[in-house]
Amino acid sequence: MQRLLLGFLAAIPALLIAASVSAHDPSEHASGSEAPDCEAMHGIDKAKMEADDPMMQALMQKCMQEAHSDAGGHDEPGEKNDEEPHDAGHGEASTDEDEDKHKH
Amino acid sequence: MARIRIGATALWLVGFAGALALGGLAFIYSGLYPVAADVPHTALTTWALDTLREHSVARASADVDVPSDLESAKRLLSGGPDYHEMCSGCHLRPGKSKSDFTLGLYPSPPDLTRPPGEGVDKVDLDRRRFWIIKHGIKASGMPAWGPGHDDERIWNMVSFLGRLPEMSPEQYQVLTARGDGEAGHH
Repeated sequence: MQRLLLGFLAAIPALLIAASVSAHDPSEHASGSEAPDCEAMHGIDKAKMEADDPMMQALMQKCMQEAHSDAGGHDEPGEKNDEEPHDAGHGEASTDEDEDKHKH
Repeated sequence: MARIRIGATALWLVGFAGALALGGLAFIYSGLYPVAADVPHTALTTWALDTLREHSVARASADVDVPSDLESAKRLLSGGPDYHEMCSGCHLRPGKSKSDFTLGLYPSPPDLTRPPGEGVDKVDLDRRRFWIIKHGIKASGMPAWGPGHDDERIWNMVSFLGRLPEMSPEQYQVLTARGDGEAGHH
């Protein structure tokens, strides 16, 4: 009973504190432009792709857009103008194996 | 005789409630409760806050209308870059299992690259996600994006979230890159 009471008393200030805590600043998430790396898509098994799948349609649209952009004399395919702006500001702790796939 | 007994009981209850309120107030001012993010809540506090949050979000999002074209390619293309810039630091991306935010925030932000649990209603989930992105959640690190983003843009992010768990790192990179001519919004 005493423990229950103590827990209840702990919950009250926690709920009150909840009203006063501020979140991280959205402006910290500023970004630069980054080219879609459509070269990496070439390795995907086309047999598993469904033409009417919105995700596949989105991927194709994006890469076609990029191809047209390249034909117009823009960046090389896969070139990145800005690397992970969000991460750079906060120093991510992760060293996951796939991390480098996005960084050339 | 019975009237005296009822009166005594009422008096006792009022006294008990008063003592409880005073005790609670004294506890708040004492500073004894740890607010450090690296000290977990007690099980009871965790339950109280989780239950409060879940029921509050469920009630508030119950009447949200989900757009019929939520799963369109257009929405995925629009929502991807916003997710990458605004959300992936806390809610991760394919091929990544932790970040400074997931390690340091308390409660730890949910990993949205994982599929939702079985039995979760898709429409309810979309409603909840829209509401949470728009309004945020107090004391969780989740900001309200509504003030700077219109509903359509938030729905685009909800659309992207729906497909995120099945994306490979390569697909994620393509869908979240803004590319030439697509200006960032922040």
